[in-house]
Order: sequence, then C-alpha cells, then structure tokens
Amino acid sequence: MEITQDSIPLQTDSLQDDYLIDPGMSDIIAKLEEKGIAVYFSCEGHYEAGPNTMIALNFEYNEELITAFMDTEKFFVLVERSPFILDFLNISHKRCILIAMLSQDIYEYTEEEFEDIQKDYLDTITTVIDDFEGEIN
Amino acid sequence: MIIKTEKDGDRRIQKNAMEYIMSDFSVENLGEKLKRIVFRLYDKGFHTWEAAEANYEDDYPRLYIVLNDIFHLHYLVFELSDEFDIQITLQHDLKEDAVMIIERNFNKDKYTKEEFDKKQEELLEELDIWSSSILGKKELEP
Repeated sequence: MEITQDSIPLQTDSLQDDYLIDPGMSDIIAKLEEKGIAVYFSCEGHYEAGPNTMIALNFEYNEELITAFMDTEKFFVLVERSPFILDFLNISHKRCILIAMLSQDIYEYTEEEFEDIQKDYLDTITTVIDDFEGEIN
Repeated sequence: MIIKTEKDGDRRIQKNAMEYIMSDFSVENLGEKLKRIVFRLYDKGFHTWEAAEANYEDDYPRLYIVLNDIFHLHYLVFELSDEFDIQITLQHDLKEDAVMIIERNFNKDKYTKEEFDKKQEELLEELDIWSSSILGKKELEP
C-alpha cells in the first residue's frame, strides 16, 4: 500500500498545529508503526530549504530504540520525558526527537552531495528500525 | 515541503557542543553534592564539560550536567528515572566533540522556594546514587 501523508495513522495528540509528516519518510514511519512505535512528526530534509533543513524524526519513547539510535553516533537526540518538559510542551506522552542537520549553507553541499548524505542518514535510520524487535507490550 | 520546528525547538539546542567545551566552567563553583557527583563521574572515566544546580532566582531554573564520551554513557543514562531529560548534541558530525546533557528544568511558578529546594535535593540525590552505581568507562570497554 502506498502511504501518503493523509493515510498515516497518527495519535490524536500528535496533531498539533505545526506537526507535519513528511511523505519522503513514509517507509520509515510505516516500519515504526508496524513495530508499535507512534510517530509524531518527521522531515526528510530539503536541499532548497536553506540553512535550517534537517532530517527529523519525532517518535514514541522506547529506550531500546533510542539507545540504538544513540549507538549510531550520527544524530542529535532529544529525549523528552521529564514532568517539566511534558507540561511545558503540553503533551502526555514521552518521546524522542532524532535530528541530523543537513544545511547546505553551513556544509556547502552540492545538491548531489546533499542527496548522498541524506540517503546515508535515512539508510541508517532504516537499518536501526529493521534491527529493532519492536514494542513487546 | 519545509517543516516548521516546534516553538521550543531552538531553545533546547541553544548551545552547541563546542561552546560547552570552550566554557569557563569550574567545578569549584558547584555545591558540595553536585561537585561530588562530578568528581565521581570523573573517577569512572566521564569528564564533565559543564554543570550547574538550578537557581530559583533564574527565570528558567535548570539543573544539568554536560558530559563527554557519550558513546559509553548512552548505555548507562537510562538507569536514571524519567525525572531527567537527555540530549546528545553533535558538532558538525564530529563524534569526539559530541556531548550528552542530562538536565532537569523547573517551572518555578509551580514551586515555593522551599518546595523547589526539596525537589532539587531529591534530584541531586538521584544523580548521586546513579553516579555511584554505574559502571566505569573501562568496565564498559569490550
């Protein structure tokens, strides 16, 4: 089944104003959802987007999965779980945000280099998820 | 399509790894308990780039420890309770400049000064126990 932005099942509390699911991440999101991990927003990064473009994946808290992503040594990782941050963000679920900065302004990538690096990050994410056994609960 | 970051997204990556490494942090300015935690972590092979107790006088009080060598620590950090948030921050993809931040912010409007002090004491106690109980870096080497 082709997964589009509209067909990706989202948790109701993920539909905040500026939460978007990027269609380029749909395979990754489908794999995570299959393994019982909800995805709250994602972005694959866009060459034309300027200095702030990034790969971002915001997903349901799972220590095994987060450790596996940390183990790749490739990503900014934000683990949001304290009573303060849940209250601050006005959410009820613990979560993790994975970020890879792809700014061509900073790194001076050509579009081709950008795409190679982007693919490398996305492949890494896919490999980690493939190796993850899934939520046992 | 360009995704908008969350309203607070930039705030929490406010400082890059190199700025922590280059900071003029001195362990001597810490309270006794946090100082003990920093020294104990050091004895286990984990160097603290920066740390501070939360200060009730600040607008955004924040208790935090910034540690190097994240790629041993990530096996240990989930032994801490959900009271703490965790960040890994990379600097231009250089693994050696990566830092792990263990932090707890406070909404001071929700605490009296006395409650705040009590809460911070509990959190420091947890860090104290954690730093005592975790394996050292050498014990984690394959």
